[in-house]
Amino acid sequence: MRATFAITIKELMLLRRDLGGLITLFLMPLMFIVVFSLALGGLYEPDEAESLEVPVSTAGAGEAAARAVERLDAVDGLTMLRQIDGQPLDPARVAALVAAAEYPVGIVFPEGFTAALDDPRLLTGGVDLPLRVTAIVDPAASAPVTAPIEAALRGALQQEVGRALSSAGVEALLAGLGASLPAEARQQLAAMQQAAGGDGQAPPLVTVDRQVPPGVEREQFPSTYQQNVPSYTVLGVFFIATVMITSVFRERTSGAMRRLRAAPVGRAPIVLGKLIPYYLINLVQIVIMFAVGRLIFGLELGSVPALLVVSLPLALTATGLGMAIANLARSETQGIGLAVMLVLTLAALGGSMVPSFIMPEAMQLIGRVTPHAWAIQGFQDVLVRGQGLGGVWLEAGVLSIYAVVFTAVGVWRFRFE
Amino acid sequence: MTHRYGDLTAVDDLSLEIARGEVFGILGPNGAGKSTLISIMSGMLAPTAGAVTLGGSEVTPTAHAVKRRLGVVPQDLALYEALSGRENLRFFGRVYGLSGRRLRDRAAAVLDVVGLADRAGDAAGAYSGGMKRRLNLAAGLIHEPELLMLDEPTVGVDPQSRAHIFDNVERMRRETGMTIVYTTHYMEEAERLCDRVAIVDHGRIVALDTPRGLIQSLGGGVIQLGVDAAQRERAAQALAPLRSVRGVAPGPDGQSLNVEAASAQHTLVDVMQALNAASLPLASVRILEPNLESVFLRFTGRSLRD
Ligand SMILES: Nc1ncnc2c1ncn2[C@@H]1O[C@H](COP(=O)(O)OP(=O)(O)O)[C@@H](O)[C@H]1O
Ligand SMILES: [Mg+2]
Repeated sequence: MRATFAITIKELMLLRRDLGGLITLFLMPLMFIVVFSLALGGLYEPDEAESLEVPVSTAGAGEAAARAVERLDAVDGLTMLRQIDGQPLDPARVAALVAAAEYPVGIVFPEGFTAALDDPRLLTGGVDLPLRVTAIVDPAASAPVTAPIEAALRGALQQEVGRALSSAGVEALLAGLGASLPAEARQQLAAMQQAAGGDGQAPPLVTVDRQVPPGVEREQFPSTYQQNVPSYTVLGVFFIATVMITSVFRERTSGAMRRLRAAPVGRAPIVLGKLIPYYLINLVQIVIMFAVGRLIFGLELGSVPALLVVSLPLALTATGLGMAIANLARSETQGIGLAVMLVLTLAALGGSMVPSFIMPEAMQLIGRVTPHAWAIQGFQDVLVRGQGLGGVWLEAGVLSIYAVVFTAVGVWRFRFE
Repeated sequence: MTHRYGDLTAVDDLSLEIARGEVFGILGPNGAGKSTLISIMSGMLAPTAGAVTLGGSEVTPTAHAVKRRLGVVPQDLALYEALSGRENLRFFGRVYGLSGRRLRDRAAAVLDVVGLADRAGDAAGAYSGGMKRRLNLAAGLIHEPELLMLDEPTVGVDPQSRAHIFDNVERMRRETGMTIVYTTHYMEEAERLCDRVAIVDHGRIVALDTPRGLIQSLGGGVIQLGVDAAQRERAAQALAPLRSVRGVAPGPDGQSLNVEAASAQHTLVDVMQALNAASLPLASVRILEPNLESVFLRFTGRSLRD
């Protein structure tokens, strides 16, 4: 215990003499956040060439809904999915697809939609208004992706409402009232027509309700920073591996590791003394990253304990990886080369550099193998989906497995020279 | 003990016993196995076969209680160059279980002993080669070991630091009665510092005695004759029967004969006569003083500096 402490303190003293390296380590991911947020803020907008698929349920909603869907289908870049595998979609299925993050947005028309619009009593209070069309939105999908879909949906609905208003029922109503319609009523009618777009003063006929799939607690779209702060934090912490490798090899070549071998200390304190300082540095780095996110970029953090529960195993995964490479590599150059390659490849696969949701499905699946993907998902569960401790145990658990495996390899292969 | 690195036997079925309070020298050329021996004796390395005991307790890499009684000064510097001299010592002191006031006192004391007190706050990386060696020595002394092992502590050291290290070793044995194992390939160090010297070659002890005993075993010294390779055999036959010659051995270069003499000067006369009588030409003659260098030559047929 005392030896572990002594070795930890010694390591921190050595690091203090090499502050430049550490500062670079801390600044790099911050730079990434700033640069990529500013330069590529619009990156997540849908690809023009590629059509975005939107599952839609029109079950029991009738022709008016079908026509609105057709209009949406005609919009460039949108493809409506009325059925999957030959099965027409129902509201529950649409919600499930969005909840599974397979599609960013799904649309549900209420049952009896057409019947209500065609009802002659539409304007006389005989129908429950407004009619609610629901846009089910994955809170983790970015606003630039979802907003145009919602806008297109509003446009398509407006046309349906206009058609309903000019339909026989309304005409009859207007004819019945004749020119004697009071100015007040005319105004109201005009307002209603406007209200179909959703921004009139009178109660609108149809509204688009934005909903988060059931089970997902808070509705919020990730800002660029909600994407970038966790992503580059995760990328950044793994760079600790390079510092650890340098430190381990320097200690070996200096012969100091040999002297430690002659000393009355076991492997455990030596390995721990080599892990703990970097583990602490990683935690500090994570805190700084989120603090900067909060204070400078205005990122809402949500449940800090939940963020911590993800951070603790994440930091150990990174230091464990460093320890493993430092003891598997034959030379410092080889170790650093391997570490940089691994750190960048894992980050790219795991969605630290390019968000997973814009990757092809196969890549997303491969990305699942990286600790990065789990860590980012864990952080976004909290930042974006508003989850607390209960929502991140899976990610924290998977990260803990990585942490234990990497650290165990590092300890098992530990070399004094 | 025996130690093998793969196929290479670095320590070959070697046994020795060192008495408490003794300064014990291990003299041998590079590659003889000295450092391997020190590594085993200090518990850094488990031998392939055999065992080392300190007062009855076996020294193994995990025998922490025993290791605490041992100090080792590795052949290669073992320091943190970014830390100051004092920080290095305090760190190694802590690793050996010292703390608080005792740690501070011990660090100050050993800095004094090696003459680095006035540079204690400077980074070890800024020290001269000799100062680093002295700090290396101090780090082995910090916990007041019963047995201190010094592995070639003077290699590449300036004369001043070397003298300092000698003084330290002599003072430590005088004042503390510490047992010291000292490896070197400089025979004058072994002669000056050690009570007993083991001459080691190829992982074996080829001779073990006090420096005086080893030298006396040579008698009058060694005469190195330069003779043509083709005639070496004949020359050896001509010289072997001489009464003043105690032994004849071919030199490692193939061009010389080492003649062990009862008395260098008298033997030389006999040797010249015998060679003249046999019409064997001599290319060179060297009289090697009776010292450990010649002892080494006699036992290994090689020079220490090879
Ligand atoms: N770690 C090692 N692996 C393989 N061979 C080694 C190792 N250390 C030493 N040797 C070899 O063992 C022999 C003895 O080396 P060493 O004990 O260092 O001798 P010395 O200290 O007397 O110069 C040498 O031939 C050396 O090359
Ligand atoms: Mg050596």
